[in-house]
Amino acid sequence: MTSSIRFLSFLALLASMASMAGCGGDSAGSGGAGSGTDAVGPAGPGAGPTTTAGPGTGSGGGGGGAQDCFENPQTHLEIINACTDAEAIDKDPVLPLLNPDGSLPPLP
Amino acid sequence: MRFRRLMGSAAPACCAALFAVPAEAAPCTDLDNFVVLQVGDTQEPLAKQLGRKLADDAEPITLVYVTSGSCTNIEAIYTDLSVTTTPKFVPSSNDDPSWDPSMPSPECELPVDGSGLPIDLANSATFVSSCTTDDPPAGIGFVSGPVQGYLFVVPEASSQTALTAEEGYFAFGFGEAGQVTPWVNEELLFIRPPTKSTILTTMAALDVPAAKAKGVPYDKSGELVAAMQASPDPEASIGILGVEIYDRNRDTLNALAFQAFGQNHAYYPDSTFSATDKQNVRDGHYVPWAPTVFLGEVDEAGSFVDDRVARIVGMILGEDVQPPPDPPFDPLALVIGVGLIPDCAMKVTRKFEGGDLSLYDPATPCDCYFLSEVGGDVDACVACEGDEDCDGGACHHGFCEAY
Repeated sequence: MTSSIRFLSFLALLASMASMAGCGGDSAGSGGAGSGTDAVGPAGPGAGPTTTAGPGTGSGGGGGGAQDCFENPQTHLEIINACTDAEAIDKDPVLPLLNPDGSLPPLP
Repeated sequence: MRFRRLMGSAAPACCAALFAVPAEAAPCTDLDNFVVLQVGDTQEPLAKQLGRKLADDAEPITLVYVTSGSCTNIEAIYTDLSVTTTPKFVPSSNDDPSWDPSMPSPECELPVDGSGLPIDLANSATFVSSCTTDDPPAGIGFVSGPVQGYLFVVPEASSQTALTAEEGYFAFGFGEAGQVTPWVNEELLFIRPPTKSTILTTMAALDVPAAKAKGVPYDKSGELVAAMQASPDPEASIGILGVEIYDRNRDTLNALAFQAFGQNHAYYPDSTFSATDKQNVRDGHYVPWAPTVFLGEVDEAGSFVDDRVARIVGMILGEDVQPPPDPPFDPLALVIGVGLIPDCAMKVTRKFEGGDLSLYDPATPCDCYFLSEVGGDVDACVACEGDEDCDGGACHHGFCEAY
């Protein structure tokens, strides 16, 4: 994966995190100084591309943010973010070496 | 050109007397209709399970095998190397009724003239292109087999439950300098040498070249498992394993859910932490996986020259083979049972290591059969005995599958 692809992926991740932050509940990143990890409910289906992370105990999405899961995935990013009944884990790690723009620095 | 070897090609009695062997070690060349395999160590459970069935078959085949890294195996078959390390073999029920595939396989003795054993069938547990971009030499070909998932694992005492690709990039790509707590001690990053499929596939998911990965490499999966089980600091420990190796060590190791670049959540290979349904590998929510590949001597049409090799590979691929297994068994159940995912149960595919996923529609899907074998939910599935039970559809492995 090239740096630009990594950067785009990171932007997608940021978008999803922003979406989840707007949802309240057991949002990711609640772990304080360390990394936050939360088990969340399944990324459930909605009408078309959805902004919900699923029914029941699910968190994330909602509030009109970026879509969290896709009901009819076609592309790679849609496939890995397709709506599912599988157990999902949210994690918001602290990564001190991330570039200011959120991209990954080259390997040493 | 290699020649098919059949039973009866024993070393002369004089040599057996001159070169004493341990009490239970027989010359490999004495074994009944033996076929020599060089496979990844993640594939040993399948070799043992299938080998027992083949040894007990009405037309018995004895699997003689060594395990090594996928890239080493590819190089061996490409360059016509022979097995020169002590092989193992899978005994028949007649030869050793007390043995079962959960036990170590017995060893056999190499030819005393030092010539080694030519490899009939090699295996890579990941894409050939991950090891070499060279075309196979003339007369050697390969086919893709079941999908193998790979995992990041921690000792059971660890509190960690997930790894993001970004975390993995810094932890394995930078080591201690990556500052990814709690994985900052490079002595506790349990990895594999760069010729192994396990590191090739897991590091591809992190965008870290396998040769640059930080950590302590272990040659065999079993050695890595033992080292992790004995880790002095479980919280700081993280390792990599093939899913089927992990499945046999779930009592001491925990899988980490993995969140790929651009993914919104982390997922286990299975639908839940405790499930064994490989749902997320099959539908694309779990990214670190690769197909197994089987390599051997082929004819101009690309078919395996050795009928026994063709039969073995055909069984692994879930094809109808001739002669059919006798006594009958479903080889696909063995494949699924060791934690592999047959192509017919996959809903996504990729073209190269770490490549993007795309939707996949297998020619003869086996979703319901797969779920039935892993204890999954088959409420929506229709059992059948023949196509006539399937309302215009096809009956495959006992279920009406969508064709």
